[in-house]
Amino acid sequence: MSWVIWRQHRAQAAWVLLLVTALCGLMLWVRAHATADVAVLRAAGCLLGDLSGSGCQASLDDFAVRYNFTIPAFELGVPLILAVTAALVGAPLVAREVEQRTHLVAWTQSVTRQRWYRSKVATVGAGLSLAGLIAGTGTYLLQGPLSDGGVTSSRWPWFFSTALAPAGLTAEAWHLFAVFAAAIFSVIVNTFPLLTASLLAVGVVVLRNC
Amino acid sequence: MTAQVLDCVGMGHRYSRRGPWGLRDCTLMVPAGRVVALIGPNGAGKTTLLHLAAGLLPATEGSVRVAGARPARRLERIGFAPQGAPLWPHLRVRDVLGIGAHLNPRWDATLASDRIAKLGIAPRARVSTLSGGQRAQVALTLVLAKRPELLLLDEPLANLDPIARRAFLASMFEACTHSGVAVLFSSHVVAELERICDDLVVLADGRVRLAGDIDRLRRTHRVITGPVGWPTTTATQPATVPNDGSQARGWQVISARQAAGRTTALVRIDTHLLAGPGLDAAEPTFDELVLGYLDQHHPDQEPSQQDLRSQVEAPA
Repeated sequence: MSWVIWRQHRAQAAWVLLLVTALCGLMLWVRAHATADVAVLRAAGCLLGDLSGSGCQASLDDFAVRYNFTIPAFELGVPLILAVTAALVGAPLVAREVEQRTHLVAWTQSVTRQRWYRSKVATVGAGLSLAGLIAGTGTYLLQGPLSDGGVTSSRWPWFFSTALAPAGLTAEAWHLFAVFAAAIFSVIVNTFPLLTASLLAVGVVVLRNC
Repeated sequence: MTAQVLDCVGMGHRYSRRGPWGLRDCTLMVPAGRVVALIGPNGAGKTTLLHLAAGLLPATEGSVRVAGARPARRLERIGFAPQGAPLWPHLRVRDVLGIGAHLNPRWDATLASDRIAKLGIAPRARVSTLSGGQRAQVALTLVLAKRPELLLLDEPLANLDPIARRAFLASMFEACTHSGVAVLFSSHVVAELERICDDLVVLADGRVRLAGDIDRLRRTHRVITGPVGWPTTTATQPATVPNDGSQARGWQVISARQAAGRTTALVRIDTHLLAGPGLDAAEPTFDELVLGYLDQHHPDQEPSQQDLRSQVEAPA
């Protein structure tokens, strides 16, 4: 069954991998710049808790101006992109089969319909969760220098988490929710337009995030 | 007694609690090695019957058994090719066959690869690039290599041109001849079925109107042509009327048409009935038999048999 799922969804897997790689690359690139700037602040004695240097407020303000974009870009953007991705992968999981009528072929092979569905949802859900975990790790790595520079403080609740697991697992939970909601929704209303199903799933995820 | 591969007793399916019946009171037995043509107009219940037999739909009433068990427990013995041969368009032919190999324990990889090679279909070709005929052949290969005991084909000839139809039927017949698989095969294309089918099932309005061995059915029917006003001619009245009060034996008009001042009727006979003066009787062709039943007026929805005769008697 795994082979079948891989053959059917490897293109989607490649796109998700590409997306997560791009997001992580972007976050690591920002992290590298922020780390370099924090090193300058540290050398000048301008880090939070050690404001012994002169002209620190101006330096910290400058740091804040340069990195404030990270809050909408990564705190909100990464989960939203991942949720949309998960819903777009999850919604057509069964709906596309029904739309193309290939479910009639799949459901008359020698595996039961229940096993087919369980395997599909579990495998794709696990893959998306792994993607969420990797993206969560990326945001965690970005947290360090930005917190040191004093940009994030109370404005970035996500970064209050100090361990890898909460950040990654939060994203994972969103993914699983989106995939299951979208996949199950697409089964219940199998003639419902795919886009609507995806949007509804994303809407639920975003509302949960507010 | 021959074991039945497919055994339906009073089977029916209703699509919703208050909705119409897709199929009702269907009793049908298909033994191993028989090729059964399932014929009926659109909406007759052909696809519903096939989906019930394939385990895709539950029976609302009656029962359906494949090799003695519910279809859902006999999936490895059922080969089902849906109408239009839907296959995953972005996959390659070898991937489609790979899916068959991974999901079916009785998969015959040699049969699949040999058949695809013989048909000249490139294993690397994507399904979306195949012609309708090639896709139908790949779909048939997918079910044949499963080595089923019951092959269910839903309108496999739809969208195929006459040459592709002939090639498909020939390859299907060849594949089924030696395997002993029972085939239930729905189609609108009546003309080409007689050569390959042993039995015939005519469906109309969700009910079985005719079922049986084609040769026997032809022997027990006649196409009788007579003057306008026939079949009330005394020469074609029932041959015998049983003393026990049961239905008169002799003949039953299935359908009748008037053309060029003559009435032509498909008649079911229980005995070797001789046509009367002025009547020409002949064994029906396969087409005449099928079309006669598709034209039939049904007692539950249409005028009664007596009404039908009255219609036939009425001036043109």
